[in-house]
Amino acid sequence: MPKLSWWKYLAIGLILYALVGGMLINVPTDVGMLDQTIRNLFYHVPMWFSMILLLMGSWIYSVLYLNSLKANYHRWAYALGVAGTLAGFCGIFTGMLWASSTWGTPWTRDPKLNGAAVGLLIYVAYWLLYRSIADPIKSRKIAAIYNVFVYPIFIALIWIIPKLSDFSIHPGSGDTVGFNQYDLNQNMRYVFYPAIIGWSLLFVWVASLKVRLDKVESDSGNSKENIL
Amino acid sequence: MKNIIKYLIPSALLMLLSQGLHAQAESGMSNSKIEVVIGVIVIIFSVVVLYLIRLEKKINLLEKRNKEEQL
Repeated sequence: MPKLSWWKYLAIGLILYALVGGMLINVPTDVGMLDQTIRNLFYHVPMWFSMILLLMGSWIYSVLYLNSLKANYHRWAYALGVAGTLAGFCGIFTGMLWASSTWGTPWTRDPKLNGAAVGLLIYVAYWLLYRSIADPIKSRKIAAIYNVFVYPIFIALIWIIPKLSDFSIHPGSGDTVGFNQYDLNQNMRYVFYPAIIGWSLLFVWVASLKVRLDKVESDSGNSKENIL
Repeated sequence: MKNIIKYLIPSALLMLLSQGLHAQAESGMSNSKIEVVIGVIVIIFSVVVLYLIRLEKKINLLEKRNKEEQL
């Protein structure tokens, strides 16, 4: 058993708490067609919050990289970008399952859905952009600049446009109200917020493993940077 | 700080569990076998965490080996 940093124990603990607590606590029953699936608030929604937080971290590291050109900043930016996209795919697939039961179809013309799909493609493109340029310094610089420009567009796609649109079936966007407008059991917050923190920390953990692996690879001469 | 968190988390979890089970008994949900589903979720998550810890071990080893090579 290797020594783990305290925040990794915190991540495991908070997620276990949210996984078990999310199943056990009493949830409001006056939510119509959602019924018990309102519990997905503890599982599906934290994926999106983790994604937004991780991609924000990726944006910050890209700015830091462009300021200093230190390779390790780029490694963090890239790893947080990949881990954040991973969280986003977890969100989109769980969302499709939830939508099938609630709205009767896995995909609707909800701007939030289409915005999220385009947003994820934007980050897949970031990944491809970095991997496809042979020159290591040029690839890092171009990827960092792309990342800096793309985050605000991404936020506009998944957050601002859905809020401005007249039509949306997602809570809290367009013509719908957020979950907090229902007569909610306050218990839900005690599980929802720990779930967000826990899952974000877990994805940061995944990103940190990727950073360390990339660093080991480049130090031992096996990485893309040394081969090309 | 570290030790407080290490002990705080399991105790908080147990507290929630007891509260949740109490609520469940009150709401008459105790016959729904929800505990089986929770067991499945916990097993899946444990496997993911164990795999992360295994990766952590491997990367620690690689980092150590790299450092020795550089000396």
